[in-house]
Amino acid sequence: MNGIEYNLTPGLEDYLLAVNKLVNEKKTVRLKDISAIIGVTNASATSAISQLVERGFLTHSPYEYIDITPLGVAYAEEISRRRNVITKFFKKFINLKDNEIEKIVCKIEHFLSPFISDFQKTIEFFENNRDCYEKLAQYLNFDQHTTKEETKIEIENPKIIPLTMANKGRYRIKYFSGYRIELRLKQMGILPLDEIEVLSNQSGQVLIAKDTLRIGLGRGAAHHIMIEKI
Amino acid sequence: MEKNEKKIAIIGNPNSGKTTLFNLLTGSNQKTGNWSGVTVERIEGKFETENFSVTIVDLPGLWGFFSDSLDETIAKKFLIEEDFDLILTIVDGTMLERSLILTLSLLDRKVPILLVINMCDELEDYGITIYPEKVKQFIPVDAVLISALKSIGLEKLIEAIDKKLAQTDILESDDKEEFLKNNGILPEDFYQQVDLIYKKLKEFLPNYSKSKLWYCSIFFLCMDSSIYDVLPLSIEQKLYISALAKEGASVLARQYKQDPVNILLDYRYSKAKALTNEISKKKETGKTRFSLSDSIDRILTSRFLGLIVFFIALFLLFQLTFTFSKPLSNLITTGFDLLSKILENVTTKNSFQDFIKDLLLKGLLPPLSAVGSFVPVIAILFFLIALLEDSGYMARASFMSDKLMHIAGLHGKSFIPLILGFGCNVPAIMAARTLETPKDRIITILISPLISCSARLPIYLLFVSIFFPKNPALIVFSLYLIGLILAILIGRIFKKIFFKYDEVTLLIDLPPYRVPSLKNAIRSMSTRVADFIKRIIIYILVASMILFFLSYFPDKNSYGSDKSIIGKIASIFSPILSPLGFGYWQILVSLIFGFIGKELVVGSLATLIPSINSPVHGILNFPNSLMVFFNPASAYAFLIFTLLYVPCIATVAIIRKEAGKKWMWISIAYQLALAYVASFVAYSIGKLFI
Repeated sequence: MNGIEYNLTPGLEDYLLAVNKLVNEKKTVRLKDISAIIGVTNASATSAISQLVERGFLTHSPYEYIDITPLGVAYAEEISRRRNVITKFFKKFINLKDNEIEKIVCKIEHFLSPFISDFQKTIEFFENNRDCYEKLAQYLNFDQHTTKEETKIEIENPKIIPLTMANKGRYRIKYFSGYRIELRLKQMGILPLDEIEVLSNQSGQVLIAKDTLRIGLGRGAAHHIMIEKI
Repeated sequence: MEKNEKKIAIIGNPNSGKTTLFNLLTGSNQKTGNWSGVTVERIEGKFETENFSVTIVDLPGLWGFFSDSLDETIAKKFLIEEDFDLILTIVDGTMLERSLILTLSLLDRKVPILLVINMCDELEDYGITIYPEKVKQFIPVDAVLISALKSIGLEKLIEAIDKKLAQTDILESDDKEEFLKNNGILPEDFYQQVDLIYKKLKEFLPNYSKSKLWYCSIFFLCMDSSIYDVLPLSIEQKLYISALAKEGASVLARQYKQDPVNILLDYRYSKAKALTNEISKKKETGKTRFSLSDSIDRILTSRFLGLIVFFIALFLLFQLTFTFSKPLSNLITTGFDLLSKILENVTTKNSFQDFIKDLLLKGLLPPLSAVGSFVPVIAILFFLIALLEDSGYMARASFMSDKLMHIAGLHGKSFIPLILGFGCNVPAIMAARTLETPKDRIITILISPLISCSARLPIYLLFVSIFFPKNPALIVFSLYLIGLILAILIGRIFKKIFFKYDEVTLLIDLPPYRVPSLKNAIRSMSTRVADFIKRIIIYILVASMILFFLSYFPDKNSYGSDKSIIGKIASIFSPILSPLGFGYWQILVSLIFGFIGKELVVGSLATLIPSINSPVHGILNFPNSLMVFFNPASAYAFLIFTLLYVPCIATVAIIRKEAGKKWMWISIAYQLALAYVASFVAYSIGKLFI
């Protein structure tokens, strides 16, 4: 499945996995099941699901059950494979609790996916060379790593919302969930942690200001900018 | 003494005043506006400094090189493929921090750079002081303060260009590889990865310009696939480089937890910030460039009032264009009529002169007259659009109409071109040039011919007056509506077929409002008109000549009749139109003539069916003679057909120029098919009511 190039955002990947899981479990999936699992409103789930439908991963007509296409299954399996590799890597080389690892992995898997084979190879190498691994574990001093700052996961922070949901006022950009939008905004000098002001929001169509820059964003673009109220 | 020839490139953010400066330097006719990315085609100008004769290339306005827009690709390709001596990078002094990001990224190209800091006349108002002489301490770039709008500092700039050109000889410095030193231009470990790729590239292409290879190496590391075809590498070499780049990216990812592009952009941003603090000081004056602009925006982009203003502006744009242009268009048509009258009275001495006379009279003057009548429309339209763009409202209008356009799978910037289509499809297609992505541009170009232009109106009016005298307005309105609905449907279908995975996203920067400059608007107008004539005249002449020959031979006395070649061809093919209810060769010929300009449909019908002796109605003169050929159902089907089939040569020529041959054929094919099917459906339904 290495040929798949559809670049989904981490958020969308979560949706795809959730649908895949539900379909495997009980065969009929409704929108509210998905939003309950992910912990979002029906509206955001609708948007995510329709994006996946557009890419041919899911099928969904209004008032009908959601189903996953063979392409979607293949991609979901590829994501799980990648997540498994990284999870294994973390378990072997970084001392974290299992549930913490899980949270981190779904957040970073997306960005690490180009290097999955490197992770895989590293794991294989140490599996084939147990003595090296023992040395490494000793060197890393595994037992004393009990808490880590990075484990404060922001992804489930309810205060972080997509820009489409913002009211007028000041916000701080937390991260971008779309690569293209990220590059375009960074080239214009808008980066994560920057303060922006939302000048108007007309059902997702947003006008933002930063210093001497005014940018109008359509829904599609605004959806990929994750912000937090200041 | 002969001056040395030098070539320089001018590059800057949208709305940085780049085009204004370009015009100022060269005095050439070129367009400037507030709408991001107005200049898509390449424009060159010339000017003289003390020692050099300089050719200057205007690159599209852009923010950087990594978001794959057409403008960026054009600029990137220029920087990699061409040789030049100097980059002029223009930044907005009131927004130094974000403008400098682009300047810093140009350092990668390793050619001399002159930083032009614009809007120096406004700095004081906002409490900003800039020290251009300090720039040199931090980056290897000279800086000059100017105001392009008020022509301040122009002499100093030209002097600086002259000095800079005298100091540097690209080929020489390219050889020494001194430019390879990093000096903080790239993050250190990033630099090392680039260097690895560069060394390999140099091995592969030893004779290639080293600075260009270096520049490419950065894009290779950033996994920018668009440049793989720029360098003459073999497939194995490409694979090698791509593996090297992948390796480099993963090394960097381990350290930065980011991909190379993001590493670079983050680095540049903090560097631009630091540089701004070093070279400028800011006192709080409580005033920014947006103080007034934001208050205006509160009204103009608000949900209700904003939309009202938007539609009023649109209505005015449309109304002014077509009221002002009408007398001028009439004047031009009258002029051509007069010319043909004079020509008619010229006596010819031999058959060759006879032929020439007919060629001019029947073959060339009518299409030229049709095109001539477009000119005032285009001139006024683009004058008004330039004013709107320059004022900053155009960007807001795109923003406001974004949602509406989503219905057709397009975004806000397509709205203006489509609306223009109601006047004339040609400027509509030309205006699609302002769209950023090829997808939006192509879809807009493909669907705008379906918008019913003003040239089709005479046909509607004629047929409606004969066949639907009871409710003419309803019938005409239904045609406009059908055109619009089909445009939306077709837009969606094309998006599905050709651009499946593209997301529709609008991201548009809104410049502050300002008083538009008449000078710029007039310049823009004259460029567009000249451009229009230059672009299509040859196609129109050739197509008209072909049509003329087909109609003229073999019997010159029956021009376009059933004895002419075209008449014979039409007689053979006219049964194709029978299912639509108008399978007569006269109708087919008139439709073929309509290809030159839809206005000619009525005219050629008039010559082909002047009067007819009908067994039912007695002798009927045109237009009543049409009753022999049509009933209301087939008349409506005919109107649908004229609405939807290929609008005119001018439109086809402009589609070819703007989108290329492939899309031109697709456009012709789908419109003919659509016209046929829709017309057939209309006729079949219509028959039930008769």
